[in-house]
Amino acid sequence: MGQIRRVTAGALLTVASALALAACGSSDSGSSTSTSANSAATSGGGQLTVWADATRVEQVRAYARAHPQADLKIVTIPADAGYVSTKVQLANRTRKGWPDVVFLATPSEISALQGPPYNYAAPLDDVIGQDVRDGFAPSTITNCTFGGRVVCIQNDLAQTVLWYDAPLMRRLGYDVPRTWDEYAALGERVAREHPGMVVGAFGDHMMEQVFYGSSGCPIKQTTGADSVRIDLHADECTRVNELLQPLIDNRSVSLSGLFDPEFTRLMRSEQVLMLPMASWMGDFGFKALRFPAGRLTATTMPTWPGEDVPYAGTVGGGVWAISQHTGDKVAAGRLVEWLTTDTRLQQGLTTYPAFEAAADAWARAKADDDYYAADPVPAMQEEAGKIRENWNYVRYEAAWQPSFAEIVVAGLKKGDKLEALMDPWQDRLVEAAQTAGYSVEQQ
Amino acid sequence: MLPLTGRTGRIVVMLATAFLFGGPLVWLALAPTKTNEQLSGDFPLSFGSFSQVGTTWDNLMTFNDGQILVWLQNSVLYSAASVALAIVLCLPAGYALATYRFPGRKLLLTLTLLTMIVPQAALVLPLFLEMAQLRLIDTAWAVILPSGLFPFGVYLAYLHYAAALPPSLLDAGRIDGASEWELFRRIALPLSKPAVALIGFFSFTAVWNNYFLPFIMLSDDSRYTLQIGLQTLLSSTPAINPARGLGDLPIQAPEAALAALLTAAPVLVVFLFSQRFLVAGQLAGAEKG
Repeated sequence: MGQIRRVTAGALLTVASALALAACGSSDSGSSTSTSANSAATSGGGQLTVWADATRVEQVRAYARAHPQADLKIVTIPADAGYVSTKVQLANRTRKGWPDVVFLATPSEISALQGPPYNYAAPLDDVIGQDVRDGFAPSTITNCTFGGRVVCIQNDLAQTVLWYDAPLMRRLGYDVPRTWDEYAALGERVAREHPGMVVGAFGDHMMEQVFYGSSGCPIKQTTGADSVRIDLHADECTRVNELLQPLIDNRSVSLSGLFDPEFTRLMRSEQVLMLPMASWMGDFGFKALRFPAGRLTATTMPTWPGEDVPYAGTVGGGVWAISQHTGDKVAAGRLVEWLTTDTRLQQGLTTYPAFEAAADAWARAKADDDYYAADPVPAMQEEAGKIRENWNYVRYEAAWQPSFAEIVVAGLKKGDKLEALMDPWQDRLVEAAQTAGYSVEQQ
Repeated sequence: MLPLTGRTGRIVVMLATAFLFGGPLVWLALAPTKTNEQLSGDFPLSFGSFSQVGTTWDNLMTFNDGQILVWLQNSVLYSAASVALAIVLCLPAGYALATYRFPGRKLLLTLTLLTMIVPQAALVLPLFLEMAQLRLIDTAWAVILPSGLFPFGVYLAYLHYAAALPPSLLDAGRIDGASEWELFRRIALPLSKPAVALIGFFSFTAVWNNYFLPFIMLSDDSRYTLQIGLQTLLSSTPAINPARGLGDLPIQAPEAALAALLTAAPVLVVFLFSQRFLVAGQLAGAEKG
């Protein structure tokens, strides 16, 4: 799959590069689209074209069923990062073919789509009111705000929590860690007393979001429309390295990816004592990978030294956006609002709703799930409002995501130390950010 | 080091080769007969059950109400039309290059060869802009028309007519009063079966397997080909990467294998039908002095 994704990403990159070059010679599309961006909400009637991945297509169909008068053309698109951006660039060339509403499974794409040369995503402030926006988890609105305007609405939250095997923890006489220091101490004990057992994983980019994200390490921190801060030697990064290096050395933190067969084997053989990971890991990951029932639950993330708030990272969470070119922005807004706030729809989904009222209904619906040893939802609810706000949607997402595996994980597997890998990783990220048009603060 | 020239050595080499190249194909063919758990837990080349194939098929059909069948239909339509267009264009072009001597002939031949080696990715943007000018984006024609340009087919037709059509035969036709069109229609075309099979097979596989062109030209999923559809299916479901697709669709690895088989099967069928002509065409003239 990795190869397929690389080939697809390569294809998308090739097209995007060619189109970007072509766009240099033609500036008309950009100017025309920004004119419509500034226009008031329109309600022209007609059909709305909605692009979404297969999972969200079902949700759009639910809207169509609930609103028989809505005229929708629903298109299933690949969930690959870069697909929508490429298609929008192509549509910009032909000046038609934009989807009215689109779901971005890779939400960082919105950072590119809302500005030149794409000029695709429309501000939503005029069609989704302040009272509705106030109902969303604050981090989701922060991330979707560019130049003071909200340009996307987040569908679901992927806040991290600390998953753990409750009966195993009790049987071994361990306490659930409340701080990362306690987590580290428990990792040392586990390595000594139960070699082979793990308290976490660090083998793919999702885990980067768990650890560096919850710590607030400035890897993708926007400081302006075209400026970012990348400083892998900041204290928030160094403390992650100092926490994890001993645990990687004593193998209580695995270098496997979460969905690698090796980690699945650990899950099924009572060797995963704890795993800090996204809220969706319970219903989707653990259940799907057949982690035994009646064992798991979740608590809030441990706190970092000097802090008393259990900050979370975030691993995913797609967004909806509306086109600047839509002929019926009001209808598009109604659709997006319903998809993200309808309680009956959201409470049945696997993912944790970004809209807080829907999240409460979701929590009630999940409370009786006897797969879990104890209800994990309260921890998710608490972490929903504690996501670090300095991990933002950036235009170098496509370079950032693989950089962790290619530099950090690969280096660790060769025996390099985390701290020594910060410089090459920093160089890669800075280069990617500058290529994407950002000025980079490195301190 | 053991010599590999003896009987045992040959058998070992053949078995190793068969295992290396045939093993994955056998695995793919057997995958839809098993559940996802059997696929990861049982012996890789074990057979599941015929009834499981039906279940796998039903699961695959849950993706957008069996949309893969629409993609299959589209692929067949685009490929058939492109192959027909390629044959119609390539045969006369190859015939003219092989039988007439006209100014610029060598240049045209050289350009044909050059066009063959230009990667398609390099042509994507100009082709897209051309189709946009013609207002054909997101229509079947945006895939069919560019695919009809098949320089390799022109070259195959040129080679065929140069080797299999003696100039004296055409001269005899001219003496009997045949026009140039009649020479092509009555003499060249009846001798073109091997060339048609070659051009048809190679253009079919090229169009059928093409991912990039339809990806650029088509946005409406009801017009997707199997190649783009397969990518959509795989990226939206946990079929290959469990981290993808948070929905409840029962699309797992066996369903992905079945979709892959469905995608590959038509090429195999076309190959079986055109095999006789392919071998005959490729060896034509091999023993002539």
